[in-house]
Amino acid sequence: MSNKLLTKLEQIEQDKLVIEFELQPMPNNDEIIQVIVKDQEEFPINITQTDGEMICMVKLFDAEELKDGASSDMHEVMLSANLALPLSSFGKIGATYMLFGALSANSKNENIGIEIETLAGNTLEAIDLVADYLK
Amino acid sequence: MSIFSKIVTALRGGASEVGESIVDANLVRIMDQEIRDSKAAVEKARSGLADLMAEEAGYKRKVTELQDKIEEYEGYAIQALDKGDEPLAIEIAEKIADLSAELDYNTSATTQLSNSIATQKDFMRTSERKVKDFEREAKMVKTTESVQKTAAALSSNFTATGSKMNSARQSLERVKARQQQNADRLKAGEALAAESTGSNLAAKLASSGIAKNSGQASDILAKLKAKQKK
Repeated sequence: MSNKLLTKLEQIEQDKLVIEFELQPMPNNDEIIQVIVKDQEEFPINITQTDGEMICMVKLFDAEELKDGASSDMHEVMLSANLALPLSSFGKIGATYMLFGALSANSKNENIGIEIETLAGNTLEAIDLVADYLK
Repeated sequence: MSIFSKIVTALRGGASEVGESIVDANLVRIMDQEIRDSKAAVEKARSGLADLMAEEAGYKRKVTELQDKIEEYEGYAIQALDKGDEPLAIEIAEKIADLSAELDYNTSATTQLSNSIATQKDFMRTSERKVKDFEREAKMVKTTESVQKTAAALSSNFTATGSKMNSARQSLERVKARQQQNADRLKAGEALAAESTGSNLAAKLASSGIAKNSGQASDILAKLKAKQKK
């Protein structure tokens, strides 16, 4: 399944329809492909495919990076921002805050490219937005 | 506890290594089985429905035929009465009575079938929704598992390389600085390139027609042609 995804992503990379990026397979999990966007290598996009869905996730930060008592206010900001951020949403797994976008697994390469580009841009916006709550 | 709340609990719990499952494997198997069963039930209901609808159409046709026939015989009866043939009229009336009984039977059969069809359609809709619900839940479980695996892979990836990830804030600042630097470099490069070829002013002059490159082939050719004519 992930081979098909990898082929798709490689095609997008070669087509250079969008921003420049490199693909990096995860050494410990072949179901995930990391997209390293040029000039923002710090925030790799992790793409995984499940039944009918493709999920692109970026790790933003861990809860321990938050200032004391800031989480509630920040959550409010994130919930409101969810509506305004094009294609991306905030999420949380355990103590890790994420920004993610989901697409149909049958999405055209062009749309996957747009997703990658948008998510990369949104990541910087998102951290900027909540930077005041971070230590 | 609903599957969705189990999933949320699992996500709040954090990353999960490969192989670990939010719901036990049995439940996933049961869900898959339920999906298959419900789908089979829908298919069965669908073919049953087609049969019922065909049957209903048959009875409806019969009803129309009988109604036409009754009308026809009523006409005959009136004609017999007009002729004063009472016994024939009675015979025809008996035939009409038979036809009416048959019509009643077919009408009530049609009604019954219509009701069955409505019930069957309801059942199908419910079953189809059930299938969709099961499929959605199964997807939720599978998606959650892969999201958890991704999260687990992310954290173990960073610890594996031994590099403690910088804080998001520092990373953001670094990214912004680098992007700015690249933008500046790009701009500087463009300016430099334009200057070094000296093409900047020349290009502007040429494009405005003020300065013309006399070495152009077309100009030379024009000169030669002019000479030739002389």
